[in-house]
Amino acid sequence: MSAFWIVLLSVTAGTVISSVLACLPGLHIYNVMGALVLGILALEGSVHAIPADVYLPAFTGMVVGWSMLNTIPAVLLGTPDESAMFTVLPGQKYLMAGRGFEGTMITAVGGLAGAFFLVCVMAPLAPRYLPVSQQVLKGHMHWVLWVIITFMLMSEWPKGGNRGKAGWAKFYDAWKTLLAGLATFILAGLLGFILLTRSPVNHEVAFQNIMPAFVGLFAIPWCLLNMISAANVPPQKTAKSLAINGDVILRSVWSGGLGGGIAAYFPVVTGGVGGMLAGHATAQRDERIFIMGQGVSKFIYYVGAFMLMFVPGLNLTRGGGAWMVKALYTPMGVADYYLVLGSIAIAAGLSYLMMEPLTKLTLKFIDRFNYRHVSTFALAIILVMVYAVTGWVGMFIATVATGIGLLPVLFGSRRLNCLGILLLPIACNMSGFGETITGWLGLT
Amino acid sequence: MKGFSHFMSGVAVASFGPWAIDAALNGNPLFFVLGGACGILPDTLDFKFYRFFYNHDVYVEPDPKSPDPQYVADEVARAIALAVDEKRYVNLKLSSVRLGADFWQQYSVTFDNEKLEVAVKFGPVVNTGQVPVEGTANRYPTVARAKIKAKVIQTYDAALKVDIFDGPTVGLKPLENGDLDLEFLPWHREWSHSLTVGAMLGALVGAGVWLAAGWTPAWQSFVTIAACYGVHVVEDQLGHMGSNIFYPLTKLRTPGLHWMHSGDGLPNFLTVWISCLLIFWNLYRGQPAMTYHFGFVHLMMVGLVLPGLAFGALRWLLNRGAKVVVAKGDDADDEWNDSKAAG
Amino acid sequence: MTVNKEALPGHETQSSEMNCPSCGRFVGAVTKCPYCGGKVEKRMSLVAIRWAAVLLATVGLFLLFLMAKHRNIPVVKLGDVKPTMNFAQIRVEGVAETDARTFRSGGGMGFNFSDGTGTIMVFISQKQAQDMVERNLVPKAGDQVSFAGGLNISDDRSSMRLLSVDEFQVVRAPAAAMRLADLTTELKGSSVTVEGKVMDLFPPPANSKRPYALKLQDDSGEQTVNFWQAEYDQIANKDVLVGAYVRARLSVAEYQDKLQLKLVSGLDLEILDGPPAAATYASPAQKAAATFRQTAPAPRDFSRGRSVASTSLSVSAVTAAMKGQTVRVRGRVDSVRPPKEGTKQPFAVVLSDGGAKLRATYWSNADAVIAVKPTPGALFEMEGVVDVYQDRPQLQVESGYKVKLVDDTPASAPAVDVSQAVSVSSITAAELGQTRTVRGTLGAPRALRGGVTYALTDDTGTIDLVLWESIIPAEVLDALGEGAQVAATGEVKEYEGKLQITAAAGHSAMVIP
Repeated sequence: MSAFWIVLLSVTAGTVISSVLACLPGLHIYNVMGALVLGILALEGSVHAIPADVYLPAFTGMVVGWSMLNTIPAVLLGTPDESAMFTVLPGQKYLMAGRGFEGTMITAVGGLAGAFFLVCVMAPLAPRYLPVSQQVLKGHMHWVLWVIITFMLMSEWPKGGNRGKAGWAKFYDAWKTLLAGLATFILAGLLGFILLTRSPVNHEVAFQNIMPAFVGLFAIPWCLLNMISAANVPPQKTAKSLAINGDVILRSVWSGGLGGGIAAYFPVVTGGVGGMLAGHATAQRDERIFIMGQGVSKFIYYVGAFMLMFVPGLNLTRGGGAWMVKALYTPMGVADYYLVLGSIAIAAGLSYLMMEPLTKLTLKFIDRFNYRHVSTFALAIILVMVYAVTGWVGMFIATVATGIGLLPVLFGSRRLNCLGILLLPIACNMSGFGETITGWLGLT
Repeated sequence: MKGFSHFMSGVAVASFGPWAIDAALNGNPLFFVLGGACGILPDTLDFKFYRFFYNHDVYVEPDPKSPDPQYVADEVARAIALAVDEKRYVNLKLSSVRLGADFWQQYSVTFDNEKLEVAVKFGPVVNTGQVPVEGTANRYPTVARAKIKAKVIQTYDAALKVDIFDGPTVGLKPLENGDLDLEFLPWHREWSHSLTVGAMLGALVGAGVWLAAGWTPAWQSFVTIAACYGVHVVEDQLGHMGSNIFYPLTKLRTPGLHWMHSGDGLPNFLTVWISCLLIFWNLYRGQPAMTYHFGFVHLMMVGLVLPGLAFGALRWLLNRGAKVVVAKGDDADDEWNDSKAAG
Repeated sequence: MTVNKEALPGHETQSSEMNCPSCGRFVGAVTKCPYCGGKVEKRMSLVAIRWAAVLLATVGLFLLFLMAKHRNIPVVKLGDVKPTMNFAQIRVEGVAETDARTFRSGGGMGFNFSDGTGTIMVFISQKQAQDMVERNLVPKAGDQVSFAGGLNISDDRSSMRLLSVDEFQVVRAPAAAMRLADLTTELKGSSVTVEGKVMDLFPPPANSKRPYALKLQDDSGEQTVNFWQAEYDQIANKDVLVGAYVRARLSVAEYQDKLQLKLVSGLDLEILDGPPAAATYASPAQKAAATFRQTAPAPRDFSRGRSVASTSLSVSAVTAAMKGQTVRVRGRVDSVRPPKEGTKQPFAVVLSDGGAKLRATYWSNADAVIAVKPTPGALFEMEGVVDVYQDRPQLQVESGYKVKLVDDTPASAPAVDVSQAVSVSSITAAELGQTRTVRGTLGAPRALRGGVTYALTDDTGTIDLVLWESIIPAEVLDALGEGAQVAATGEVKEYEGKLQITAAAGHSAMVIP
């Protein structure tokens, strides 16, 4: 079979598989890729060894498909319980207004626009300009992280203190949520120091050191809160068209591209942080732009980070997917770059086409099945996966991380503060005093 | 200007100090962190500290279950009467009306100086993005009115519209001719947005640094703090509200230049983006052994002009023949971006 | 005034717990109504989860911290490292294969580590490096080390990052005291102790990456010791260094096929109060022989300096039929293999002549008295008894005095073609960059940083002959001296307005008998 057909079939398979898996709540594509990497390594050297021109396009398709379609469970399979949570996310607003389908599809349009932007604008310019910026920024990444941390903590807004007479009571009412945010950040940072310095996870599966923590910080709280939620999903309607135009798409690409690009390029900065920064920078007030921008940002973050590994002359590894592939393969030259770009383009189109039928299927599903049961099932899958890869130690880590991950949602602060798990220890290490802190903690 | 614009401006100003670049290359991020923090500090001081201790004479707190515009109108009139009768500055707090995690009852307060009346109307329910909820525009059609004792002069063109999060504070200041001057958010930029305060803060921190680390880091800290704090003041003078630039030497806010609204999208983005380019330029100049070389003009062309032109051209192409309305920013507390960032 | 209003979007499916039970107003997630002050009861599951969150985030984290802190990092062999161990913290025990070297940018350090099952690059951060320097823990080639580090595994290259200086253990490799003349590239990778007088110190040019060059001399000869600014800064009393007697622990390396002696730490150089006391130096052979145990006393050699009448043969002339005969054989040394430490093996030298090879063996007592040890490429003459092993002849040398150097110029080494020599006065500026051969008498040597200059005088004039240590073999340099008649080939160059000949790489200068 010619290389063209091998690549085409591989990317199609990767996209379809991940698109379906993306509909399962709580499951991250990096977990699936991690398991596949283990399998590929086990088969290496044997008769059934999987060549790079099969797994590279497949992995690309998986990252693309997941980043496009994981909007579905994020929007449709979680109902905000206003008696428990302080904020309603924009995607959830659409769901509560019965417009979940619209919200999901608008995000998908953002993903597709992001694919265009990535392949047609960023990809040709990256080999020319990113090596320049790498050289300029060499030695400066540490303060970039510190500046991001500073803004993250300083820009959080107090959610209380709006009523009552002036004084300390009003001040405390306002600062409760901010203190919860600071506490979340510091506790997550401590967790990060522990896991990055002296992780209790077995060294044989250390490449998944952080997985239990991330699952605990984000996925498990989401499942738990769904399970105990006292709110139901309002009836949903599907729309024949979306209330968007070219201007909305362009401004979403601008906002989301900036956020996703920042997250893809800078180490440790994730999509959420990039989105926050871009949102503040571009100051778009239209909620459609925000929703669509999220789709753009997510796509560029996940897929862009993966793509960076293949940019000729750059040698940059960003994102969990790239780190995992790096254990298998070192990109060599322009051919690999074109292979990945082509795979991204095919996968983006394919996954977008799958968006509508899968969204409608999910709507039918949530109509029939209680989302709380779905979340319970998702939680069970997550726990099995954590146990299978990292054992009881991983389960314990996930449990502790769940406690930290619940704090922002239940006490009114930003979930972004959970990213202190990586931001704080890595910023400290980059600045050269990480070891001082771990020394104080007795970890080194 | 928005918080992130101020923050990035501060970082950009800090990057002009060669000591900041040298320190960064040696693993010390403090000057850049200080720059960003001081860039955003004036608003932090106001919005996260001072406003909770700012006393009001009259609190207007409409009942979310049964919002009564007449109550609001009467209370506003009472505040005006207090200012006129007692010939003193009166602070009036208009509280927001929360109906849900994402829903707020909007109401507006308008002064009619011809009829010496204040008119209050409850408008639609809006979400945290200030987008009206369909079908709620005419929940409360009544316009309530109350007579006021003096004219209320509004030099600041922010609408007294109360919706999301914290409602505005209005200061009523008696004038010589018996009218009242309406000051929007009197506690904001009352003392915090001052060049002298920035310099004093820089001197204070510098003194501490001098004791700990010597003269050179001390004056470097002073310059960084004063400059980055000061750039916030300068940027806010481009707007409408203005600041009390030389507090405590001056007592009143100096009105702004009215060149922009603090919430305007394009000026804010350009501030952020140009700050990033300036930071990049300064880092490039301070980077030893670069193998790539470019000039400032080249950087601006590649980083700003060409992408801007491309974006503008695309926008024109996409919007030809269509009427595109971009929501304008206003100068109220912009917690909307925070809601986007939440989670 | 109020009107009946429909529920807001989504509120029709929300729980009543979002409203205050006393006044009915929206309160959201808070437990106390901000309007009436009434308590807002939340369902048990929510209360439980709130408490669980706080407890897990605090107590749970603390327990996890204790678990991590008291965890023993496992010892793992590098050969057992798999890609799934990326980011793992492991402990390794083995040997530093190279000296830890400081990186020019970033200030950290790195060294190659091996535990017998694999080799890996180990990175040390700048702060850790400073700490290690202060505590004299910087590993040198040959040191036994044990440490914990974080693995970074990729498809093409893996590395480790040192976790903690406190857990870094080093057992220094023994550094035998040696004479400068005995130091050869065969000692590459090991550490040695030398003593001598500092003749000169050449700092590097400003903004140059070149090292310092310290000329050290003892009674056997002179060597150059290299080190960089970081090491120079560590040397105590460096202002009295030139002319002082010093003892130094040096690392033996090879640079551009030439011996390089490196001072890895300034703390390893000690300025002595006076000339060092005469010490017994162990040659490499003696070091190996020191571990060699003999059960019977070595036979005494009575033939000191006096040869039995024998025939001087080429290698190919020695045959198995000569078994038992004493012969003298001349051939080029192909290889020298000292006995392995702790074994009773003899020294084995392979002589070759054309295509023929002959293995010559002698015991350590014979090696002890050999004045100039056989080195590959040198022409040697050995006298011994022919033996036969596996149908092939061997030479058993019984006396070290019967092992003599004939000529140490490698057979393949280019000799200077004296017939091509031109007069000094004929060399002009028009010939800059061209190669010329000159012959004449050498004047007094003038030391250079990294070389030596002689004024070469013939009947027509004088020209400087520059010989760089980095490209000229040591034996060539050692053979030259003031008053020697030499021929040399090199490139015509100009320095400070004067013409000079820079000797070409290799054997480009020779003494003319």
